[in-house]
Amino acid sequence: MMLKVTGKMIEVRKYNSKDIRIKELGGVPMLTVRGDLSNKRFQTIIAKTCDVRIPKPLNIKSSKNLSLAWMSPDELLIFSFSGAFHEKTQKGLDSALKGLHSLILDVSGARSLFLVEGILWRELLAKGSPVDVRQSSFAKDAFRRTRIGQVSVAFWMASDNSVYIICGRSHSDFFYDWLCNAASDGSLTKYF
Amino acid sequence: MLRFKCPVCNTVADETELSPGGEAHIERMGPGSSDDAFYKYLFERKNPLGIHFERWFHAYGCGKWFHAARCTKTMEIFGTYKAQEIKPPKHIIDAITKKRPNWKNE
Ligand SMILES: [Zn+2]
Repeated sequence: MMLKVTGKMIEVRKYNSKDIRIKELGGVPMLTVRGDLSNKRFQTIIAKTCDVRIPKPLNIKSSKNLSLAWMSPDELLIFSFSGAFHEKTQKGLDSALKGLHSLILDVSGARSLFLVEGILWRELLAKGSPVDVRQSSFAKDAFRRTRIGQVSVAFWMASDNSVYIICGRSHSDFFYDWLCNAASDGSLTKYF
Repeated sequence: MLRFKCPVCNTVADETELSPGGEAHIERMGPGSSDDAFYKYLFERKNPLGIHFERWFHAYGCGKWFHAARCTKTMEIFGTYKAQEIKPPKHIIDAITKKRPNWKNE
């Protein structure tokens, strides 16, 4: 699902090949929340503060103000659609989760976000990732943590013809180069 | 190529998404144990050609450990189970004995 960020999404850099458009995007605030996702009180607090229930494992869900991604049985990742809402969510969770074994951390600067557009995005991912990216097994709302090349990433569909990918900030130069190289003209198969 | 179903997040993970953790169900020998027992705990591993119980770490995924039963000769995977199990659960033993009737768990 699209990250409907209000205000400016900064385009850090971009690359266009014949089939694929790659953009690195800045300005999307992210929060890591850790805690026991099976805990009833934790679930209620998340639902109340984020206005959306905790997604099923390997899924991502959105409300008006944010997207909520399932990272592991004890970790969530929140993409806020505005800086103001990001702060409000962090403060809200900080106070609501007091007394419950948990952690809230601003990871906006720790992750890089990429948007890959073009109908051949599945071919591009399949070049570097062991994930089955066929439509039948990787579809809308799926959120998959895996690797692309040797970079630890997570990706989910932005629309039918585009996909978001996040990776660690320190890998982003290498990963951007990897993506551009893999997307070069004439190099993508038409398998999917 | 090995593909394991991670029992924590239920993804079918490729071997390259995982880190191997070696033999499973090793009892820890701490202070108070004999030198011999501590030596065995640290260094002695089974390394069979056949059925092996192993630990795997879903490094590129949910970041959790789990157990797997695998044949080191044919690379067949009989099943995976949670890291919290202190011995192979019955459904794993059953899955192995169904295909290898002569196998004994030692
Ligand atoms: Zn997993």
